[in-house]
Amino acid sequence: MFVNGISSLNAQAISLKEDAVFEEIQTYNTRNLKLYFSDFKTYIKPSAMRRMSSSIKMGVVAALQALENAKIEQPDAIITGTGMGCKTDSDVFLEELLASNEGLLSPTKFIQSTHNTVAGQIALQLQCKAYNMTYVQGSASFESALLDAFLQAATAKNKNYLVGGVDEISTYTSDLHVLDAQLKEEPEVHNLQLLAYKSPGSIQGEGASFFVTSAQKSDSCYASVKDIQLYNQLKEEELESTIHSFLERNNSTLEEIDVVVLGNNGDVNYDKYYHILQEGVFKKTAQTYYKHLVGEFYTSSGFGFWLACKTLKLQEIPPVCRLNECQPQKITKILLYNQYRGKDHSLILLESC
Amino acid sequence: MSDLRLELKEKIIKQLNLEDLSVEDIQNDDFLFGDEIGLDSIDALELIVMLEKDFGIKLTDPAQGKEVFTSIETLAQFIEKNA
Repeated sequence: MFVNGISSLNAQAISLKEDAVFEEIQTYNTRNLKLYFSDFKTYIKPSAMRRMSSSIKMGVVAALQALENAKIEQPDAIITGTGMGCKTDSDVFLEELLASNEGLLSPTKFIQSTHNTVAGQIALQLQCKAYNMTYVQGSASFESALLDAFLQAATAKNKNYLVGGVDEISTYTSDLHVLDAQLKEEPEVHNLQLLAYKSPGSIQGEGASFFVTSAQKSDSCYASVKDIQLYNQLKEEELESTIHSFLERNNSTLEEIDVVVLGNNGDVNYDKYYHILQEGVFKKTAQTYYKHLVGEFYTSSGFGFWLACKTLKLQEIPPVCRLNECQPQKITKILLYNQYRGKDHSLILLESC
Repeated sequence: MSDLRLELKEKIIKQLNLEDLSVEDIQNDDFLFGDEIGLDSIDALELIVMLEKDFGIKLTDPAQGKEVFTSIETLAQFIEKNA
């Protein structure tokens, strides 16, 4: 399956230019990395936008940008992944439910708070009546959506799949995530120093990453997706052998991987999975990370996928994403590995096209 | 402008997120649904909830809504008569 169009909105100033990655690196001194993009009115009519929550707006804009990037007007499927859906509206709806003693409730917040609202709104904007699916699989939500497109592309030529992941920050959930140590205790965290804190939890972010994929390669092709594998549970000691098997079934070797994109998020309790690879099988491979730029959220790996696509196309790794000094001569194969709190492990193998 | 009509305009703008409109943009006789203000069926549900929550009026006959929600004026008159 080929990736023919890409787009990502998050806490960074993403460049829309083909030959650039970021406009300027945004630095933060907080636990919450909010969306940088704000020009929604260019893409969505005010009458449609007035009911849209943050995740719907960024999902719709990222989807439109990906289609524009691929020069496609109508996709043959809209497949999204989200860990928490339209969380802010869900929180408002539940708060109103309590405040009114299960009485009168705003219908808009209810309608807009389901997980599949983003895919539905994209379809409405495009007047697209094709296959519409949303995957809610924790931190493997984006990968699950991508896997759906991958399986469909294996049997259908000339179809374009709009695939994406989206999640938003909500205040109430943030408070809960501090309590159970998903967020760091330190209220001020410098994002570019994320891996230096050595404390439990991470920083959180929000964003949307969308892609147009197809079995057909286009002139604007970024990458070829060779394989996707998800594991709900994986022991630390099983990790390296799992990667060996994954590469073997794709007729690849460790030495052929030019860049590995890792999901390090600065959580001292769970980054050990990445450390095993950094100090083990990928010790001599170029290593990159990205969650210090956009924060951790259930579909932040969508940005990792976007970054890998850009890296293959531009044949260079953004310096701010480097974890080591290794510099490949040519970038042909990229392996992405992500997990969250020791669960929902995912492997994606990308090749240049 | 009576306080009730002003209050209704403020509530409608806030409740329905009509960010591009101000109180001055809505005339008492403007059609709320259709070309002038441009509300739709979901907004009608919001208005029904607003009537009950803020004014204690329950709209039991759906056919009544079309007439009541025609404009700020008809809505205000309905509230004055039933509150």
